Formats: sequence, structure tokens, C-alpha cells
Amino acid sequence: MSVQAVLSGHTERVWQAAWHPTRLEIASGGGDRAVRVWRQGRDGQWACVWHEAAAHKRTVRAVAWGSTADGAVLTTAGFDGATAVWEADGDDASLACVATLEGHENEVKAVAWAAGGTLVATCARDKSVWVWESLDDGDFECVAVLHEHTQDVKGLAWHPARDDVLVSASYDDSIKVWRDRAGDWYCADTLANAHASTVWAVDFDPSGNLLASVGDDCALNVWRTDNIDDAFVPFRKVASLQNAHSRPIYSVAWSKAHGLIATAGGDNAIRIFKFDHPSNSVALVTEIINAHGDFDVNCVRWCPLQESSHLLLSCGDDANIRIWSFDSQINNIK
Amino acid sequence: MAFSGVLQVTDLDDFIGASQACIKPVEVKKNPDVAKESTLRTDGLNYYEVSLDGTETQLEAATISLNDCLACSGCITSAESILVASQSHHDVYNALAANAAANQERKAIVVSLSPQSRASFATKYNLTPLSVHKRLVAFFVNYLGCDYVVDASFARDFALIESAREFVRRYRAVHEEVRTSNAEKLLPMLASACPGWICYAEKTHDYILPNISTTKSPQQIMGTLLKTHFASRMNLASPASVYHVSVMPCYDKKLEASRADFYSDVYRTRDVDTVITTGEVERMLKEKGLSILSLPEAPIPRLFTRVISQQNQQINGVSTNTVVGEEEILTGSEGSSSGGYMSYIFRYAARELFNIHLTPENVERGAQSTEFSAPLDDIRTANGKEPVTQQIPSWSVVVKPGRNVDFSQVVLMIGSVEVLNFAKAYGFRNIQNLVRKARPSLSIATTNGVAGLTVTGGPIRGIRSSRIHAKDADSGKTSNRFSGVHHFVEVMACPSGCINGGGQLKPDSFDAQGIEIESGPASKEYVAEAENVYQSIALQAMIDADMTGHVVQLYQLSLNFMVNVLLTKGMLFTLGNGWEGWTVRGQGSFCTHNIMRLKNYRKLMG
Repeated sequence: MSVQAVLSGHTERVWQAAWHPTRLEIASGGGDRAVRVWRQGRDGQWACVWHEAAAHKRTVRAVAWGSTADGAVLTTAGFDGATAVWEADGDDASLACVATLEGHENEVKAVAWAAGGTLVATCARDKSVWVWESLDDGDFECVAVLHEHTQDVKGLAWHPARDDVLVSASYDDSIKVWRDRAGDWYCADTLANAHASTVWAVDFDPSGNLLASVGDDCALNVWRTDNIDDAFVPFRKVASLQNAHSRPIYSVAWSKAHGLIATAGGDNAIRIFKFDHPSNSVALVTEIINAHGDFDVNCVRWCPLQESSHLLLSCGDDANIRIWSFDSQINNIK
Repeated sequence: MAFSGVLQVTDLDDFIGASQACIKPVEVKKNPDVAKESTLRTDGLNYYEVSLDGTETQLEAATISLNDCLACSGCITSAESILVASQSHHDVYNALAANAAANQERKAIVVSLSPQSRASFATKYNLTPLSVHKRLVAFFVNYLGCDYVVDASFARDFALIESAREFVRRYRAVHEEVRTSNAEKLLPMLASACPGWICYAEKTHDYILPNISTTKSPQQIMGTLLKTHFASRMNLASPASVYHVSVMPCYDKKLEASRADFYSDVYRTRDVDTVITTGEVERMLKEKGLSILSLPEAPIPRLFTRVISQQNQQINGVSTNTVVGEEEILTGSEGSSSGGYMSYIFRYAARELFNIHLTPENVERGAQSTEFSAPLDDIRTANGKEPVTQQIPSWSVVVKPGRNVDFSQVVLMIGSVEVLNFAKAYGFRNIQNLVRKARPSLSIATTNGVAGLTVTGGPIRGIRSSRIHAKDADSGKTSNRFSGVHHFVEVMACPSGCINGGGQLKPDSFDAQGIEIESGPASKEYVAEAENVYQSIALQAMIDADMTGHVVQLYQLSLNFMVNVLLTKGMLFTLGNGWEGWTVRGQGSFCTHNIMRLKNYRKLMG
């Protein structure tokens, strides 16, 4: 494990960062209301290639790239209740805001694109989950407004292959599985008391049959469905690692390339786990203590590019983004 | 901001959800002398503050009125208890008790029954809507002692006519450069009958309010009819002498009835005194140890009711005949179970603006000019010889199904020009898309680095660079992209519309031991069945745009006709020119924003 780069530029905590779907590029957002795009140059050095200082009126809480028919589209979600859609503006690295998705009453906590590149979901403190569809004419249309969570909704994850399965994590300690039945979205499954406290984040394994969740209770749980195609087959908990971290866990990322699980949280650490399917065991592979010094780590994400899938980004309260290489660990599991 | 879970009947999660918190501050009277050290004690009903010396003081319960709720963007209708406390079936019992105790000041208690409520009972108990109507007459009139049961769809005809006239005025103002107030120069016109939608629009999207139709809802129109004409006819002392109970499929109709717009300071009365939901009627029956099935069928009072006898059904909806024992037929309105606004206004506008005669079925299924011809009288030009059909370009009605069941469009094409584009948008997601399209867009013409120029921050929208084409270039001209999309939208907050209102009956559920348990949500199939039952009653629009060449005349004629019928039946007093004041000016007493002032009551009566 080694640090590849430290990206400095944000002036306040970085809440989230996301890998570009097709090239070595990262977008980030933070408490300074800015959105930044970072890219690895020919010399191998990472640098900020574009930034928008006042991208939102308040904190930028979440960023996500969508892989659309028109190429990569960046969405940013903020505490101002808005979700902004950014597209390439000309040949250089600059982006322009081409649409805003409004409707949430207050802080948007997460944004996520479905694999198909047309659906984007958002969730907010207003307890709702919204699904939007990108239309051919360039506008977006609200497809569903889902109200069944009883508290703040913290995180979202789309099924890696299906555009009709969406999972949300909430302050109400539950995880909900949402499905699309002929254009109508509904709650197909509620994993009540999924954690003893807030569920901060969820992510699917490469197959889409397993789901990892992390929470304020410091636990990492793994859920499984025997048949994702059947809406009546529920997810059930197959593994639970208590004290996966010593403080609340804020982020979980399950690599679609090599299957390792990364977690990060309030104990300043990043941990890498391996889930073994037949035994349903969760084993610690490695860890990075004080990944951002004495600061919380808010988000970890694996690089989706096959050839760079050993790269993990993290962002922290120290206003930095770090890129880590797990070359040896990945080679070991192969 | 929100409708509540209360409103939710189906398992579809498309209702306007409950908001964070009530913003209405509750006033706390603090007494600095007392507020030192104390404990709280409750006996289950009341709360007591127990001070150190042992003295107890009963604490006042915070009260929140319905009007407080209307002023708040917090819970809206989620606090069901507030609604039930303010307007409940107990109010009906109280009014009945007050009547029983009164010597002279007895009120006439009139119950107006919505056709959706009727359909809900009919679906759950496998009865016909007519039978339900008769059984509820037996309950309210014969059993409880109310004076009349009237039919809310009677008032709906007025709402339809008024809405259609308003639409044509707006359309002409926009398209024909007619001089008018700016307020009327706005399309699309959005339906105003759904109180949930109105409440939502007022609180979160005020820019859209000028687009909302000024026509009152059928519930409030019925209130106007009862409190003025009926009261006068019955020689009652004032509008307040009528106690009007409305049976509705919707909790938010309680909010509508409570609006200050519909309260008269002079007469201290509302158009509607109490709104009870279909479910509350069922609860009343249970409380009295009755069931709709155990009630007899009572004759239907012919006051403000769209019931006809079989032999007279050709007389366009109002009976001139009350032969007892003759088989009766209930009549309903065309179109959706949410009032049929889209269907009626579409036909009226096609007729009025383009001289194209359509049937409700045309609007439902589509039609083309080759398959349909106007009545002979109307296809002649002024000289009375040459058929106009040769001069009117071919037209077609195209029904476009939407991306989901709660959104659909119907357009009227003349040649290749889309002259009318109407839509139905039900449920929260479709309302979202509607208001999204209507949101005034910011400096759409600028594209590069817009956000970088802002001082205040926040994403500012440019043009999606990958998709700049002619259409986008055009849109730079208008600041409101909404215009040109639809001309009229039938907006309803509930998925599936009013038939699926939150106050409707739910199917009974039983546990394994056969004991009734709390009803779960109604399935889509159950709602669809209720829709079918609703649609099963004869679809005879009382005012049919195809009956004569001039709709305005027809409107007047129909009103006069109806008034005359009512007069001959002894149901209505002479109106004289009163109708003119209500209808022709357009801002008459059926209008929400310029509602009938009851201080004009005497003038109207004169």
C-alpha cells in the first residue's frame, strides 16, 4: 500500500469524491461549496484542472459521475437542496451546469447514477428518495418520489447491472430496497434495524447479489439475496462484523473489479476487507491508520477502471483527497 | 411539504410526503414566579404541573387550528387528529343535537354526497352507486334526521362550465391578442379542484399560482348553491341557516372548506360547514350499529341531484318528471373520476374555438375528421349553402399515453398544427415535472462559465452543450419554457385521482382467526375496480357542447332550463338576472379568487 497522490485545493472538509467512469480523473466537493476536477497528467502528477468555487449555495455533500450516452456527466448534490448536472463545456477540462434537479426540501445527502446511464437518484434530510430520468431532449424528469423512510436518508446504491433496483440507507437505522414495476417505483424490501444506529452507506458487490452496509454502530454488515430477479426474495444478513472500526463508519466501497471492500470513518482509518462467500466471513486484509492524519475520513471509492482498479481514493476533514495504491494486496488475492 | 400517509390508499408511494416539522409556533405562557422547580404529572387526560409545595396546576393543551395548518409549510395534513378535531362526523351529531334542542333557530342540514364516495361504498359492498345513494339517504335523512341529501356532481357541472369558459378566455387572450388583464394571459391553465395540489402550489411554487384556474371546486359551488339559492327558496333567515355537510373522498377537502376564502364575515358561515370522508361515513354507520347493507333504499330527494327517470333520460340530465316508483338512473360526468375537467374543457374549447364537435369518446380514444362530421346546422356558412367542411382543414384528436399511468395527453391537431394540448397529471412525481417545466428559467441564453460569474453561488443552469439545436435556440426567446407545452392540465395530488383519495374506504382485512384487523393499503386492482364502478353510471354530461351551435347560448339556456326545471319542481326561487352576474363576467361566484361575497346576498336575492 502506498500513497500515490495528495490532492489539495479545497479549503474545508471534503465530503465526497468520485472517479470518472472512463479516464483517470476525480471530481470532488466539500464544505467550501466548491466542486473540483482533478486529473493525472502525462507526467503522472495529479492536478486540479477545473474548479467552480461557488458551485452550490451551501456545502457540496455528494458527487457522482454518470456514464450516459453523451459521455460522462457529473452530478453534485448540496445542502442547498439542489442537485446540479455538469457537462463538458468545450474541449478543455471545464464543465458547465446544464440542469438542476430541484424538489428536495432541504439538504441532499447522496446522488447516484444507475448503470444504464439514464436514471439518477437523490436522497435528502427530507426523508425522501427521488428518481430522475435523463430525457433525450436534455432535460430531466422526475420518475418517482419515495417517502417511506422515517428519517434522513444518508446513502444510495444502484444495483451494478440493473436499473430497476435501488437501495437506500437511513438515519432510521433501516435499509430499503426500491424496485421499478412497469414505471412505478415501490419499496420492495425494508431491512429494519439493519444497524443499531444510523446506516451511513451501502454498496453492492460485483454480482449484485450481495450488499455491504456500514453504520454509526461501527459495524460492517453483508446482506444477500438468493434471487435478485425476484422482488419477493428478500435480502437477509449473512455476515456482521462488529467493531469493524472503533468509531462510526461513514463510507463503504465494494470494488466491482476485484471484490475487495473498503471502509472509512470517524476513527481516521481506512480498512480493506475481503468477504468470502461460502463461509460468509469478513476478513481484514489491511488498514491505514490515520489516513488523513487526525481527521475523519468521509468517503472511500475504488477506481472503476480495470487497469487502475488497485487505486482507492479517500477524502477527509483535512480538506485533502488522497489516492492510495493497493497493488500488492490485489495481487495477493489473485 | 406534504400530504400525509393518511392520504395514502394504494401501495404506490406517490403522495406528497410529510414535511419535517410544524413551523407554527405554539405560544407558551411562562410565569416567572411559578417556573422554578416543578414536576409534571398526568392522569392520562390532562397534564398537571406540581410545584414544590405540592399545589397542582392543570396545564393548557396547545391547540392548533386548521387555519394554522393552512398557514404552515410543515406537517400539512399529517396531523390527522387536528383535522378530525376541527371537522369530523361529531360535528354532524352536534348540529343534529343543536337542531333537536332548538325552538326556532333550527338549521336545515344538507348533506352533499360526492360520486367518488358513492363509488367507494359500491365497490366495497358490491352495490350499485344508485343503491348506495338511496341507502345513504335513508341513513342521513330517515335515520339521523338530516333534511336533504344532494349530489355533488350536480355542482360539478357548474365547475366544468365555469372552467371551460375561463379556459377559452385565457386561450383567446394568449392567442388572439385580446385585450385583457395580464392575469388572464396565461397558459396553461391548471385545474383548481384538488385542495392538496392547491395547498402544495401555494406553499412551494407560488410562481405557478397565476396559472391555476380561478373556478371554485364542486364542493364549494355546492356550498354557494345551498347557502344562497336553497336558503332563499326555503325562506331561511340567512345563509347561516343552512348547515352543509360534504361527504368527500379526500381529507384535504376539509382544508379547502376551512379556507378564509370561503367564509363570510357578514353571515358568519362557510360554504361548507363540515367535510367528512367516505371512511368517516362508514365509521358513523358502525357507531350506530348499522351497515350500508342493512339500510333500506329511500327515495332520492330531487334537490340538486343528477338522477333521471328512465323514460326521460333524453332530457339531457335533469328530470322534469318525478313519477314515484319509476326506475331511476344516476348520471355522471364524462371523463376522469377526478371531475372530468380535461375531457369537458377539451370538447368545449374544440367547439368554441375551432368549431369542431367532439364526443367524450373522441377525447378518450382519439378521432379524425374523416370519421366524424359536425351536425348539419353547423357545417353551413353564413349564406347557408356551402358546407363548411370543405373549408376546415382536416383535424385529429390524438391521445398520447404518458410515461406512467398517471400522466397522459390529448392533443387536437388541425392539419399539422397542434392547437390544443391537454394533459392529466396525477400524483406527486407528475406534479413535480409540471412545476419543473413551469419554473422560470434563468438567463437561458448564456452558456459559458455562467456559474463562475455568480456572486451568490449555487448552480445556475446553462444549456446542455451537447444538445444545442434549433429547438433550444427557440427556447431562448421565452423565459418560461412551460408556455407552449400544455394548454390545460388536470392536476390531482393523488395517484389514480380522486377515486383513490385518502378518505376512501379500504378493503376489510381479517387475520387467520377471521377477526377484522386494521385495513392495509388498497391494491391497484381495488382502486381500478372502484374506477370501473364510478364509470358505470350513465355518462351524460348535463351540458353537452354538441347540442347547439353556440355554446354560450347553450350555457345560458341550460342554466335557464335547469332553473326552470327547479322552479317547476319548486326547488329554486326566481333568479332573475342573478345568473348573468355569476357566469358571464367570468369572475362570478364560482370563482375562487373572487368568490361571491355574501354581503351581496340580498342584491342577488332581489
